[in-house]
Formats: sequence, structure tokens, C-alpha cells
Amino acid sequence: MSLNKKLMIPILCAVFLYCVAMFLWVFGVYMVGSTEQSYMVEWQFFSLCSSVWSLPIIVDYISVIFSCFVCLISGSVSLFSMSYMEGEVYMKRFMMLIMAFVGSMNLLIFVPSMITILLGWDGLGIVSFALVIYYQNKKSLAAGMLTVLVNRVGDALLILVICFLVNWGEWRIGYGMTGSYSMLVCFLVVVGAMTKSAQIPFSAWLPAAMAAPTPVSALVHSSTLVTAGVYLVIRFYSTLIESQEVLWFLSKMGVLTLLMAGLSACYEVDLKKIIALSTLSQLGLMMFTVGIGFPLVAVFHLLTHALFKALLFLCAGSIIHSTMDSQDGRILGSLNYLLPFSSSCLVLSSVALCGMPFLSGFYSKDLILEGAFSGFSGVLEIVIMLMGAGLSLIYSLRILLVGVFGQSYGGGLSMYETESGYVVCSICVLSIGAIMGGWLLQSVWVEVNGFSLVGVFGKLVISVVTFVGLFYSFVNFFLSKILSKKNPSGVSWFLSGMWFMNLASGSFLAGVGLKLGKTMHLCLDLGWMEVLGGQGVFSVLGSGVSLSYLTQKGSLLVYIRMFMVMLIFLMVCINVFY
Amino acid sequence: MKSPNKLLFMFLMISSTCLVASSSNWLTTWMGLEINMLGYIPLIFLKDNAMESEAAVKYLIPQSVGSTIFISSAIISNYFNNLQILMLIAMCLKLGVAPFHFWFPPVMATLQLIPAFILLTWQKIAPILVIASLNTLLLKMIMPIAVISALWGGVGGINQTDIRSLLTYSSIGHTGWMLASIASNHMIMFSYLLTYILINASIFTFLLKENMKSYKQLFYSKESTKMFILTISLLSLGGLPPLTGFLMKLLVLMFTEAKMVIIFGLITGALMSLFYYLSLTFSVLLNMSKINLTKHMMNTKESTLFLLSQILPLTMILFFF
Repeated sequence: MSLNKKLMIPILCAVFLYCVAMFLWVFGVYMVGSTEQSYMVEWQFFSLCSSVWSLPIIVDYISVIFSCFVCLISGSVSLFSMSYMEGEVYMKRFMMLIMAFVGSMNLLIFVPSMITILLGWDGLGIVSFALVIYYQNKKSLAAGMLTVLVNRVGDALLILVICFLVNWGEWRIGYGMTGSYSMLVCFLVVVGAMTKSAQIPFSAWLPAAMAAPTPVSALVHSSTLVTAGVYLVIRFYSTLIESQEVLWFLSKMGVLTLLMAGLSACYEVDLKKIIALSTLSQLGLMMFTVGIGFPLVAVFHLLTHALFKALLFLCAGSIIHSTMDSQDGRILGSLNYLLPFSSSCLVLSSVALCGMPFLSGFYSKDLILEGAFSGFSGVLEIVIMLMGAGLSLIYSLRILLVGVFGQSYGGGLSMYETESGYVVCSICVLSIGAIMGGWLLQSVWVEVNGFSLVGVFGKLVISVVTFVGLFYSFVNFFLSKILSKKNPSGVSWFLSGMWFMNLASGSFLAGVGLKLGKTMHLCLDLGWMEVLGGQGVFSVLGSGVSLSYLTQKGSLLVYIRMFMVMLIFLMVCINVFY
Repeated sequence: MKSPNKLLFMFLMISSTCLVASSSNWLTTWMGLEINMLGYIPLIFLKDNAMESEAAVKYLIPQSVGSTIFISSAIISNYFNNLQILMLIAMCLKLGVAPFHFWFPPVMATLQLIPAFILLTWQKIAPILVIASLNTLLLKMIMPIAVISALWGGVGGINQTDIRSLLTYSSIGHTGWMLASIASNHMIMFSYLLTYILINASIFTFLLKENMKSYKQLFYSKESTKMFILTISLLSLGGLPPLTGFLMKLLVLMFTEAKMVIIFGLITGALMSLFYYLSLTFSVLLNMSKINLTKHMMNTKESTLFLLSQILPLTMILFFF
């Protein structure tokens, strides 16, 4: 009975989340779509020094559809964890954490105020820490610390933004504002968002966070944690256009992240890490899109990406679960015979990621590429972006060739199992999303249809870029073994190590930080703070007290003499100074 | 206190203070001060033991030195204006303000509780009134003395185990605050003095009830309700924020024209004295859970006095707003 009760929890959560998603889709989209209006409800607490402290709630296309997708994906993830986490003892705790995660994400989505958004933002950071260290071991803890500390950097930047926004008397975001220190504020917001979305200087935590259970990774990497940064930038976009330099910076960083993650994914062997890096490259693409001035297209890509990336993770999770927890690409293989359903959905999601026409990834990616051609970005930037987009095909195919079609190096088949009904159900829901999502969104939401004037050459280049990776991969696959043992050269070391960001943001920073902390502790806490603080005051007071004892020891005559001496001293002093 | 001569001396002491308050020249002031001293000294003797005689002598000599300096400088300052400062210093000696306070703790430590109370409270009125009637320019020079007094009141009290000595140092500190408020506004000084006297009254009521002289006796007290009230009064004397003593300090700080350094010194002194009040009252405060306040509180004479001493000064704030 108790076992059944325990197992009920994920189903309950899944049903609840699916219902919320349905509700949001039916009523929210209908309400916003039929009236073509956005609604903002604001609860004002008080107004202090001409700054309004309020809790605004915004209902518009972006928030409703985003929240609907978050609920849909997290519902599927809950259903999936039914099977994936079946041996888990503390199921209730796990589901509570997932729900807290979804809750903070929704808070972030619906509340466009810099102060209250921090609740959701911080909530995401803390819950993600709890989820990354869910398997309690040292490696998870290291990954979790990296995650939470990078997120803390973002929190600190946002708090700084709040401080600067006092000058504007306004913490609401979502419509164009400007004021003193406008560029600094924009820069802080963008860098804060870059920490959450793991853009280039802060990328190392994202692959590290793969230490979390796979359902959590599916949630974190598709629609919640990492997209929070992109979402914040999109919400803040109307202010960001006032300072073009920041947008320029953002697009450059985004495109670099795209390239870096794509190249690293081509060298990675861990199945989950390849997918994580592909998420990273897609995030870079979204940031790039915002940077060149297409925030709505970025939202569109964010949404479609959420669908197929969640599917990709669930398929990967299903494979990992069915093959006795092996997620190393060097061991996996021939899964098309073992797990036909999961591997076919894996193929589907990878193909959607590459931008196969008329799957959901196609609509948004095509728009982004067209936008890049018609926008004001430089040639080098475009070239790098095209390379990054082309790389997405290579690493997607790499997953498939290595995992699904390649030769298996694993153990006996008798240890393998097939997917349970829950997994099939959750994957089915997301597969429908991955196939139909793009088309469905374009049909209900007019703004994301996009309209860019691109010449014949541009369109040709886009198609070539989309398919050149396919050609390259096949040539590479048939000519030589992909994972043939070569001595790793310096270049491959550089590329596979995320351009050394792993090293830089891990032990290096930690070492410097700990060393500084130790010095500070020795010099300040145990040194000057004691001398000027507790111990110093104690010794001064002690000498004062002993002085007072000394003066009180004498007889009456001594007192009178002391009084006379003091009298004369004071007389002299006063006559000299006044 | 029942004997007729005590009543006579009590009358002398009170009326001479009134004489000082209403005198229009230094000679009558000096007369009032001397009568005041002579009226107080017989009141010291409650038990007629050697300790009390010692206290009387230790009290007499500094007071008479102070009076002598006062009258002589009052006369000479007709010719040498600079010597007016001596009057101030003489009054400081009589008050027991910090650089001239050496007679004060030993006298207090040997007194019985009632004379100690009178010395702490009533005997302050006459000298401080004299200081208040001095030249305004002279009053500006009082600030260093006030700061030294406030600081020394804090430092000296820290290691005391005798409650009377502790209250002595607290009185030195409070006198410093009073002197600091003289320069800005006399009304504040008077209300500070009155508050100080009232709070001391409520403290001494409880000390008399339990005949409590040492710090250790607090631990063995049976009546926890009374101890609680004593604790509150002590903390009020120390100037802990929601209590009356704090409001008086706040008034001083709000209306003062002193420099920041002076204010800083005053506050540091108040903090140090708060430290020893707190360490005195911790033992009682930690037993708070055993105290049933509603049971004994409302119908005793002591609690009425306590409440009056806490609430009456609050009405005086109305003068300032």
C-alpha cells in the first residue's frame, strides 16, 4: 500500500501539470489571442520615495505560452520519473523539488518586476542546487557548487540592477524605460542573464549540472533554468534597444557560445553531456537572435527548442535507464534493435533539432537564419553563426550514429529492459509537441511568423548549411571510425575542454577564491577585526578598569592631592587654549 | 529615620537646596550649599558604626574643599575674569563628575541604602543648578568634562560587584549626560535629572525591600516578579531603547549643539554602562520563563512606584514637541 502511495505522487503531479497546461493553452491563449491584448494586474504594496513597491502579473502571449509549455514539459517529466526514479526512496521529496522548480519558473514568467522576479530567479538557483546534488556524492556536490555559485553571480548582478533602478523609480520591466546609468543597467542585466543561460565566460556549469537525475536535466535544460536568462533578456529587450553596445556584446557572446558548444559537442563521448552542449549551442543561438534584434523569434525558438530538447533528454534517459545506467557513447550502440521506440523518438528529436523542414525546429531556425541575413550583423558573425548551425547537424548525427546505429560495446543483452508505459506515454506527448509545435505556434501567434527579406543566395546558403553537416558526417562515418583512438592533440584538447572554461571556472577560481578567503580570514577575522573589535575593546576596557582601581586605591589625602593637581592642570590648559 | 533630629536635618537639606535654587547672588548660593552639606552628613548615620563615620569624613572634606574654592573664586572673579572656571570645577567636584569623582565611590560603598539614595539623587540638584546658572560661555567648556564623565562612568562600573558602587559609576555617567544637555537647553537637563531620580527611586525601593547590596544577591532572590521589575528599572537606567531612560538620552541628542566627537563619546559611555547593567540583569532575565507577571504585579506599592517612574517622565517629552 505504501509503495503504491509513494508511486502515486508523480502521477498526481503529472496530471496536475498537464491540466494546468491544458487550461493555459485553452483559456489563456484564447483570452490573449481573441482580444489581441496583454493584461497586467498590479498589486501595489506602497510607494516609498517615489519608488513603487508592487507585484505586477503579466498575461500576454509570451508568458501564457511559455508557462503552458513549461507545465506540459514538467508534466511529461513527472510521468517519466515514475519509471526512471522507481527505486527512489524519497519520491515525495524529489517531486516536491520538481514542483518548487516549476513554481519558481512560473513566478519568473508571470512577474515582470525586477524585485519580485528575483524570487523566482533565486528559487531556480537554490532548487537547481538541491536537484543537482540529488545523488549524494562528491562529484555531484562539486557540480552543484559550480552551478549554484555561478547562479549566485547572476543574483548579485540582478541585485545591483535593483539598486541602480532606484534611480529610475521603477522596477517593472517589459516596456521601454531609460534613465541614468542606462547602459550600466542593461549591461548588468545582460551579464546576469548570461550566467543563468551559461553563455561564454560562465559556460562550465551547464555540462557539470548533468550530475542531476535525467528527468531533472530534461527539465533544467529544456524549458526552465537555462531559459530563464534568455527570458529575462527578452523581457528587458525594450530597454536594451536603448543601448546598442550591450546588444552588440550579447550577439557576439551568443555566437561564440554557439560555436564553442557545437565544437565541444563533437568531441564529447558522454551521451547526456553531448545533449547538454547542444542545449548550450541553442542557447547561444537564442542570445544571438536577441542581440541582432529579433526577440520574438528568440521566444519562438525558445519554445520549440524546449519541446524537442525535453524529448531528446527523455529519450536519452529512457536509453540510460534501459541499458543499466550506461550513458557513455563508447559503450552504447545498436539501440535501434533494442529500444525501437526510444531510439526512433531520439532520431525524431535530433532531426527536429537540426531543422528538418516541417518539424518544429525548422520554423524557428529558419526564421533565425533569415533574420541574421536581413539584420545588421557583420560578415564574420554570420559566418560563425552558420558554422555553429551546421555543427548542430554534426553533433546530432553523432549521437545517432554512435548510440543508435553504431556497434554496441556493452554487456549482455539479458540485462537490458524495455520502456515502461509511463515512459512511452510521456515521450508520445512530447513527440507530438516536437512534430507539431512550430506549426501550431505559428498558426495561433501571428507575430512569430516572421517576415524577412532574404535573397535567393541567402536562402540557398541556409539550405546548404542545413545539409552540409549531413554530408560531412556521412563521409566521416564511412571513411573512418568516428571514435577511432587518436592521440589527442592540443587543438582537440582545447576544443573538447570547452575552450578551457572548465579549468578556468573550476579549480582555478576556487583556488584563488579559497586562498583569498583564507588570507582574509587570517588578516581580518583573526587579525584586524579582533584587534580593533572584540579583543581590542576588551583589553582597552581592561586597562581602563585597572586604572580606575588604581585611582580608587589611595586614601582621602591622595584624592585631594589628585584633585589639586588636576585643577592646576586644567587652569593652565584653559588659560593657554581659550 | 523616626528621630526628631533626623527630621530637622532632612528639613535643612531640602530647604537649603531650595535656597540654592532661588538665590540671586553667589554668597547665598554658597550658604545654601554649605547648609545642604551640613544637613546631609547627620543623615548618613543610621547604625552609628565606624564605616559611617569614615563615609562622613570622606564626604565632608571634598565637599568643603569644593565650597571653599567656589566662594573664593566667586570673590576673586570680580577682578580676574578667567578664574570663573574655578567655580565650575568646584561644582564638578561637589557633583562627583569624572575627573574629580575620586571621593564618590568610596563614600557610596560604605553608606547605608537610604543615605546612598539621597546622595545619588537629591544631592545632585543643588550643584547642578549652580552650574546651570553660570555664564553661558563657560558652559561651552563643560563638554570635555561631560564626555570624560560619561566614558569614565562606563569604564569604572564594568568590574563592580557591589550594586551601590555600580550605581555610583552609573550616576557619574549620567551626570556627564546632564552636563552635556546643560549647554543646549536647561529644560532637557531638568527633565533628565527628574527621570534619573525617578528611575533610581524605583530601583532603590526594591533594593531596600530585599536589603540588597551585592550583585550575588540577585541570584538568590525569591520574589521573581520584583526582580523582574528591578531588572526593567535597571535597563531603563541604562537606556535600553524602548524604555524611558532611552527617551531622555534621545532628547539630549536631538537638542544638543555639540560636535560629533562629543556625541560619539557620550554614546560610547552609555554603551559601556549598558554592558554592566545587562551583565547585572542576565541572571534574572534568563529566569524569565518562571515569572508569572499578571499574578502579583498590579496591587503593590512597589509596582505603582515603578509604573509611575516609568510613565511620568514620558509626559515631560510633551514639553519639547
